[in-house]
Amino acid sequence: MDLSYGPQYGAYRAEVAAFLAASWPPRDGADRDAQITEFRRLATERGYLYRGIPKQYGGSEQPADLLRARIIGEEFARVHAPREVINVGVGNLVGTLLECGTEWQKEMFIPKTLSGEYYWAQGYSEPGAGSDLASLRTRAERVGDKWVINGQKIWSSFAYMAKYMFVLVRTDPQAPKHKGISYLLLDLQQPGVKIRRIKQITGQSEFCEVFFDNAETPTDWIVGKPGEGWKVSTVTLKHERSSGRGVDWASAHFAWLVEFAKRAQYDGRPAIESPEIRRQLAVIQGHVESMRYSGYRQTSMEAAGENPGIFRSLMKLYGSDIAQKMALLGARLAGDDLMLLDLDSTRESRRGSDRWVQLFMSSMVLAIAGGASNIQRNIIAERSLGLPRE
Amino acid sequence: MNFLLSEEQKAMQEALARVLADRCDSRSLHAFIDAKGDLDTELWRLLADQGMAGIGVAEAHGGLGLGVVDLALASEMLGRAAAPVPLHGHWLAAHAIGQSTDAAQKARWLPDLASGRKIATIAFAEDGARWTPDAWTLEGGKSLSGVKRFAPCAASADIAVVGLKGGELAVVDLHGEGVRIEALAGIDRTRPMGDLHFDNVACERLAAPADAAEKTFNAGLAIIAADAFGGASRCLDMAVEYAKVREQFGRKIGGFQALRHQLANLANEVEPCRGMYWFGAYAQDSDPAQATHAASLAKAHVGQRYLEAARSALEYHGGIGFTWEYDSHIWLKRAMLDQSWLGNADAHYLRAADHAGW
Repeated sequence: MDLSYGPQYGAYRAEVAAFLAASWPPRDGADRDAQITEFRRLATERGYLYRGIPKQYGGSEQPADLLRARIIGEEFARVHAPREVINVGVGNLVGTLLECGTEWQKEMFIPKTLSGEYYWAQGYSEPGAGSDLASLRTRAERVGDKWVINGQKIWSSFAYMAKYMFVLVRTDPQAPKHKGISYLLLDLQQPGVKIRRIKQITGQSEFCEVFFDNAETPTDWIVGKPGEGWKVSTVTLKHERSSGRGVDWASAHFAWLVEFAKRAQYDGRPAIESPEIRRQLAVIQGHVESMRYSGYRQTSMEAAGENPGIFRSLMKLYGSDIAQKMALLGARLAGDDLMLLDLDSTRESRRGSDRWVQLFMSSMVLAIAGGASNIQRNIIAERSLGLPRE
Repeated sequence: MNFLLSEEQKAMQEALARVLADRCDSRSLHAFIDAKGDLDTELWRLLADQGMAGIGVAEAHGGLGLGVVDLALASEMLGRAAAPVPLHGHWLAAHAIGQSTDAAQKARWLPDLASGRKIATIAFAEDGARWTPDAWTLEGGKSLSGVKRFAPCAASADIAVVGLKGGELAVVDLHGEGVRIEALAGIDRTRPMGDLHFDNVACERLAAPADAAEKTFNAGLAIIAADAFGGASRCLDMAVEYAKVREQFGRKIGGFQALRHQLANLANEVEPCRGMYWFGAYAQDSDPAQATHAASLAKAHVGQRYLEAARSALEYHGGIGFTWEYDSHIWLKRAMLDQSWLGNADAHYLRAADHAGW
């Protein structure tokens, strides 16, 4: 057990800081997107981004090191430098391709996904297949050298701005429901695809419905074999970020919550001075730190080839519960402002309370998307606790 | 850098678990509880022979020379087994004496504590939940007069490390003149406690740095958090195992989604506490800037989870869980002690907040 930042880490922090001082923010006023892309390229070259991904596919291929990852996170955050592209392509598809993709697929898709050039949407849920995802009905049939796709997907985040989609489709209607599914890649910019944005309770429209009317994709744009799609979709990348993402989110929001408590009034004084609010903050911090150190333990054990037990299966539910606790405390701190929300406000124009009223609603997404909390509980009960199936 | 147990640490946990599984089965625990025992001398001897009494004592004084992390890892096993042993108070007394800067003082007490020939306890609390060193009021001159409360296994202990006004510490021979030990009707009979009444009792000041009491107190918080995690994880296991065998409506109750979800929630509360108590203990050994915050946060968080988990796990057993003969109440009552001893969750959440930099 050694979490110390030894001298080599001090040197590493200085190296990261020196890199950032020289590279971010950019000096000239050129195209912002091009600057970000160039910065990511440089940062990856130095080993600061995409650390779990092989160099040949555009990653930096660094050994898992939680402290280095934490130092990078802290230093990048300090100067608001861009980190890895935030997209399901990076978060899910790349790991899947590394494990199950063919060589040409890896070469064609991974580097440009990491650079942000290829932006992906995920096509999993359907109106009739949410928690029971394996009952999905969108069909793909092989016609000549193409898959022809018909059906409908829903809750596909940012599909309106995506170039490609990875999509689960039924290719064998006769097979048992988990066995007849395939994992296809698809160009969204074609006449057979229609996309409709869905307005959410926050006023934003990130989620989309995607309709396929004889949409096409080449036969070799399949990951894994036909019928293996269910298994392929469960593969994810195990590296330092795999346990870190949830706690990064929780830590950042917790720090904002503390800032909010310093500005907000409670009982006629700054909320941060109220014993009741201080105790509530510490309760939440107990959960955040439990997540952090259990995550450290898990990542260390996985790197050492040991079995960390059931924590991995708990992370999503645990993170969703923390979000709920933070949202509820934020709601108390917001006071009368909880009744107000300017839907036209921008990230920049939002005041402290607006951000928390937004978070109060948007944090519910964590408990719903990507396997709702009740589905997580089913999985924990069955796979981690070994309870009998219903 | 890593957050892993060493091979030695794993081996120690396994060895301890083996002895406790053998000696703290349900029948033995109930026998100890029903006899209102104070000390299982045979079990104490067995653990002392394994070196458990001197985990934290320097090798020069016959101990294993290990840190708070190792004490906490052992404590997890005690909590899991509900072991009726006076190790918590004993370890902390040795931890306090080990901070003495007087070599002769350490040589006088530590070898007997490391070997387990003498049993030590700590006497920190005063009336009104005054647990922290800054809250102690007992005046200590050459002799002591007053009351210290909730000393573990006081009736069988030979010496006590006593907290004094100003956060000072003193060693008291409990067999000496003027000491009266009042056994308490403790809820957790696996860890009996007593109040110490002093009437002009001779004491020996610990020649320790000003922050020694704070350090021992924080080590205690980490060790109790570890006991709480061990107990809570045992409660979870018991509830899960029961759900796999108990049948109602013609099927195993573990197949009903209502109970499956309750058990998943229980796992979700309990398992992450492991990393929390590891760090609470680790900070005592290796991260002094975070030691107080981490200790109080771990004690509050894990202690609270234990209390909730023990209640829920008992509830999921139905009526049998509410009987004296069944095992559930053993852990429920340990959870009640772990919640309160050294200060309850409310107190430690606030102490953590005061050290969080807000």
